[in-house]
Amino acid sequence: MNRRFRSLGWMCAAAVLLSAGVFVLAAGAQSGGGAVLLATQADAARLDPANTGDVPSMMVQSVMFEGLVGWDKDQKLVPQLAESWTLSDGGKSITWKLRHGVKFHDGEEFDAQAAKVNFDRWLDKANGLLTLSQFATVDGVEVVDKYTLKMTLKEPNGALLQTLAGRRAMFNSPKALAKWGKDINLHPTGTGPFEFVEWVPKDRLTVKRFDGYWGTKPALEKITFKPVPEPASRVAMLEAGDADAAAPIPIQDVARLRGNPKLNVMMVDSLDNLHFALNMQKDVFKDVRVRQAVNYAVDKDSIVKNIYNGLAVPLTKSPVSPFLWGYSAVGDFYKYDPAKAKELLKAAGVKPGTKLVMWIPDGRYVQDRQVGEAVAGYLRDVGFDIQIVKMEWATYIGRVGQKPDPVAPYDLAMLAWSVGTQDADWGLAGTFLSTNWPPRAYNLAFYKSDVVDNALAAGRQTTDSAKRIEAYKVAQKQIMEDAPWLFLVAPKFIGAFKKELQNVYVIPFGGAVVKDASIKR
Amino acid sequence: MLFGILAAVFVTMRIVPGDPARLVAGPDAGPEELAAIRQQFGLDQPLHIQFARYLRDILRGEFGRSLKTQRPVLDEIVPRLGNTALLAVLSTLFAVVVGLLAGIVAAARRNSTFDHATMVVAMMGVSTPSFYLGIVLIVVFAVMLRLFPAGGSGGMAHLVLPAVTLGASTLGIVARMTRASMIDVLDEDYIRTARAKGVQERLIVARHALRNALLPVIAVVALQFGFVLAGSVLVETVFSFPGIGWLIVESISMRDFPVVQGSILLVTFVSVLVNLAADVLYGYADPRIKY
Repeated sequence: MNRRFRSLGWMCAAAVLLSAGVFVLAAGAQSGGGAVLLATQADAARLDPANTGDVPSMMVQSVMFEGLVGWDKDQKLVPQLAESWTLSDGGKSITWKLRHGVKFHDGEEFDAQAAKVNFDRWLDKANGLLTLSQFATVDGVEVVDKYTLKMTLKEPNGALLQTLAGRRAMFNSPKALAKWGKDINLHPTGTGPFEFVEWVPKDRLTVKRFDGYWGTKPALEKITFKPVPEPASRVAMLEAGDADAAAPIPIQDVARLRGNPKLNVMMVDSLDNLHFALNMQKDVFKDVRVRQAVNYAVDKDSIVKNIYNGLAVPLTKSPVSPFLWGYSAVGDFYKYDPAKAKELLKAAGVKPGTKLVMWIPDGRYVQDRQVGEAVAGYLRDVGFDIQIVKMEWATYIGRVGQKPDPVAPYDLAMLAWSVGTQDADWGLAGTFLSTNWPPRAYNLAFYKSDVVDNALAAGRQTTDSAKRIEAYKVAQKQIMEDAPWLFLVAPKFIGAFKKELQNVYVIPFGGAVVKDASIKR
Repeated sequence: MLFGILAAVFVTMRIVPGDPARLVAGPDAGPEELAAIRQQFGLDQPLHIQFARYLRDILRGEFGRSLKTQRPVLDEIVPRLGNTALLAVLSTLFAVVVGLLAGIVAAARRNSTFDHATMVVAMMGVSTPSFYLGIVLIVVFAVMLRLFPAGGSGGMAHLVLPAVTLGASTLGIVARMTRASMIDVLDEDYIRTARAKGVQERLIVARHALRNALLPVIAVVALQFGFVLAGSVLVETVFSFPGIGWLIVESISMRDFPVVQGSILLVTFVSVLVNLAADVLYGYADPRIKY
């Protein structure tokens, strides 16, 4: 009987080999020529910049769209579709001189009228776009001549330029807006160096070089954005050569990828300022000594070294990341000193065994759970009894964003505040302004300081950069002293690229930029 | 039944905490934008009105639009359901073909090295978590050997590793079931009679034994199909394969109510169809079963 079945066994083996052979023949290279495949963390959600709230979408849009102003590689504000601008009427009026010879991807010309159509759309309440509160200070825009646009403000706004460079104020072709209406989301038609080709959701989004681009023409012919949510798979795709670039890269893979002669690993301090808001509605954190004690009790350098393998910076000089416009190093705060922490707690009358509830959005930030557990350990060392509550992000943001009833249930709540405007205005106001307690925004500490409120108002109302920086410096110093947060770290944002890709970089907002790349073989 | 599932999914999605407007809008959004989003999608209405509207739309064949992408829900679901169906069918096919052959050979060579080796591998197939298996296959076949792409979709090559990963557990079960039921059948009197009549061994196995041995296998495969769909959630994430499992997980984490509701409704519908097909197939394999 054995012999008869041997033939069956051979048939089985042959079938498997045959099918494997077919599959191998079908396997082809993913990239080549002037094409680059970038493996990203998540698919884009939307392709209409004015209505986008997520980083992956903004990164995709940034190769197809442009605004009046933008940022260069070093995150400096630069003119984009505006050549220059002048402020008048005490900062309440801005006259924009627009660039000549700019074409949208559908062949339409970009001029003052096109810009006005976009602004009118962003500011119209009926459209319910995400530009509404960002541009609440803009009263309206009018066309002066074909290449001159006049913008009138309700009040001077120092943060406006950064907000305009932010990723929402980018122009769609008026013709496309009229043609597609609400579906403009699926038909992006900007002026950027690359134009839209196709979007297969959850699979790939492809753009190709726009030959009518006004600026330096890209060297690349095509970019494909490929969502790969599982970090290990993302790294594997890069190592296997299926992807040309990948970001973000998990910190535990950095050492191995650095040892790979075919790859370049790049990193930058991110805008994410990881912290625990200390709920000042709770009696225990009403006393500034307790909040300072909590900061002294945690060894941030050790967290950076042991949890981030050194790939983070401790937030000891300011509550925000060094890449936020308006950042100032305002001192050297809260060096690890558990003895001092205990002393402060004793002076404040906090009894050992005081219970604190710590909320963590598990899986939202790099190493968030590990950091939370380390912090809990440090706080236990100085006598607190810590209860950790982990939630997935959707639950978390819904709960911390609620109106407190009457006080928010957490004592410590983890967050990282990274804003698309990259400006200290919303970068500080969103979490420290006393009018921005939940549900309005994310002042999760329920912090209220007249010094900070006034400084932030001053920073917003002037358009003089030096004065703004000075105002934010005052705010940052006061915040560090008041310690409404347990200040933690700004993790680095890490990307990896094939060696032959030249002129690629990563940006603090959280993305790998390949639009200026060329391929050297 | 579909109504029950609709209601259950609708209520569950709204009981769990989380605010879709905040998730969609990001940290820069102010109260005006959040209110606009809630109004746009009717999330500011009382629950019973939302449900009544949803039922009315479903009966009209309208599944609504995704809160996140604003695309029509069916445009989100249908292509991905197709991808997952292809993956599920291929992985089941792989599991059944290889599992059957391995099971038959193992039964015929009972207690041989081949038998023992097959059963150990089958056991590993059943017990290895698909998440782990997927990563191992990627490292070996994509990173080291460069035989298959590490992830994504785009051709048959992209389906090999996910299909093998997804089918591994079914394969193990099918191989063990086939072996056990073949061994039983081969010991039956009618097989002995056939052999005594001088019928070729190959014909005995293929025509007399296999057909009877198949019955429990079909039942298991049909049941496993539900697990295959569930397993696709992990496998699609590991291989970045644009299927319905990944879509559902992401939509749940974004509280994208219309997409979750629509996906689960369609997946339920497909599962019912598959089980119906299995019943019909059962009748075909066993003439005693008539409907």
